[in-house]
Amino acid sequence: MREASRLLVIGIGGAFGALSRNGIAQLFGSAPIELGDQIASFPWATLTVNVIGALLIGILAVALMADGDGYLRPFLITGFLGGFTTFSALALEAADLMDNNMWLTALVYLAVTVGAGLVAVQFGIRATQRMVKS
Amino acid sequence: MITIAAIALGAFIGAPLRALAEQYASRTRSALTSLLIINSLGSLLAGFSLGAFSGDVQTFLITGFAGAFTTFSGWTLALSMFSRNLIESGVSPSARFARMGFVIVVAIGIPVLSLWLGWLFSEFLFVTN
Repeated sequence: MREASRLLVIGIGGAFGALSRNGIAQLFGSAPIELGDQIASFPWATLTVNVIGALLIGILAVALMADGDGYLRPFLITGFLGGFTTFSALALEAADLMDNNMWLTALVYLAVTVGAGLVAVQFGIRATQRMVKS
Repeated sequence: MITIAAIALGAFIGAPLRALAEQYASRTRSALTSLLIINSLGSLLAGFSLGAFSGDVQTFLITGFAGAFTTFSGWTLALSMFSRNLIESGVSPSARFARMGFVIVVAIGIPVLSLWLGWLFSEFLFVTN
């Protein structure tokens, strides 16, 4: 029963996360992707979502360490942030850029996402560790 | 309105399924390998859905389900744990960079290839032009 309620909490968090991701895509005016349509633009929306998500997971992984078996970790980390950030859209957009022969842009997109994501998660972890200690 | 519901429902199913898949895979595999499998499967589905479906069904599968099933934030966290473990186990800096580089290239390359494969498969099944 407890496992079922944990999965339910993850599902609700995931739904909120995906809706927030979609909201940011709307703000950026991102058009739905199609392969083979000769249209591709730099995926700023997904880049923003993934880097913000990486920063937040670094902060929450440290801040919620004391939560233990509570529902905050499943809701916020596994649910919300897991649903907010995405790897499939990253792959999709990179493939769309490659499909339009924008190989360099695709490589830059992937490298910037990974680089900024790693810096963001490290910054989140360290800043929060410092705050927790003091 | 239906589009919003499709995204929410897809993610409501996709996120818990990722939690279960992670739990199952992590019994025998590292967190990074578990996430590689999850992200590749989600990308395969997204690529397939791109060619096989349209409209709200496509949004349900790509933006909702695959979007929430796969994760980037969890992967960056797993990658920084991997990096910290390498540092703590005293691996030389050059070996550390090589292994980090390898892990990153594989973690991105296989999902991108999976996405292409999924899309090509849907094109193969539903050739319209």
